Amino acid sequence: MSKNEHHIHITPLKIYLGIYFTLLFMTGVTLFSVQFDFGWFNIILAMIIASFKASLVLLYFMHLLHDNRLNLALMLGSIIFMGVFIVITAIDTNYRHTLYEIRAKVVEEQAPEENFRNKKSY
Amino acid sequence: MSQDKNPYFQHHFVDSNQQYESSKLGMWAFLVTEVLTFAGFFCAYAIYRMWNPDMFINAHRALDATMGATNTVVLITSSLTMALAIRYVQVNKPKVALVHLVLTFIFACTFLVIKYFEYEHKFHCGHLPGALYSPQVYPDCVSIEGNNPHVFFSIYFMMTGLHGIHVVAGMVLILWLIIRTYKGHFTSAYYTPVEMVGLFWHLVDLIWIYLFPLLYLIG
Repeated sequence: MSKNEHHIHITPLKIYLGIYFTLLFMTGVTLFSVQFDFGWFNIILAMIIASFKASLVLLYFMHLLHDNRLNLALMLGSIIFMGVFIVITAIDTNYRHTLYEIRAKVVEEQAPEENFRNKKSY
Repeated sequence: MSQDKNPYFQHHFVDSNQQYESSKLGMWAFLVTEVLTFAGFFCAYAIYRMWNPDMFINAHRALDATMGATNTVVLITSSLTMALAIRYVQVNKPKVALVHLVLTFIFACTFLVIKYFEYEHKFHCGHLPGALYSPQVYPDCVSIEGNNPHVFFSIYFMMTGLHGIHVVAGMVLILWLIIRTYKGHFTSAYYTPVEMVGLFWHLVDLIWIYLFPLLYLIG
């Protein structure tokens, strides 16, 4: 037996079929869950189910479970940076207006001139 | 170390296993860039949905969730047949693997045909991205209330469009695998391209797993 064959983990057919039917079942769960209105929790629930399905695909179909851990680290890294990208952009776009409000206030107030005269720093 | 079993062994690698692992690491690095490419679209989606929460809910009713769900099932099934194709080439049954590759190709075609009917209906109703947005009042078209629904369709067409391009790219690669498997290039000693295209194809499935609830099933 060569070294090559020795290292490769061959997933049994039963596991592939089990994962397949779990994925189909979870798709059904997603379709079922959107019939209810949980408010903001709907999107969270949908993302939890999608992430569970994605993990199954990554670990079993893409063989990350029995693979070199470096590949798993790369994949997780991309997901973490995707999170950083979205969260930081959301913070920027959602709170940017507060920055402009402060500047607008100074212009609107038209502070009397003596205010400036007393402040040496101006 | 016996390398005689692998006719594609390249002399600059220590052994077949190192060659295989190196290819796989390279493929994963590529998949990381793919995830980050789509991250741009997911980010745009998140921001615009935060800005227009009601419009997103109204506009998503113009999408056919039944067709979306069918496409989800088709793509998951194609992922299974791709995974099985890799398994059969691993256990040295390239003929069975060939059948599964052809099945994967057929499922990919099915996905694109369903996508065509969806797009065709969007064009018919004028539910198009950006400046092209021109809603029609045909009886089979949903009228969308709320501000700036064209933004939703810009995001819908960009996300599903880039995903669709990936499906087409995957199909070309699977066709290449079908030809090479038919010619008998792949055995349990060498099947690197099958594994790599498999990884790419699963990533296409992975992205759809997120696209489906985000676009078709907004609460």
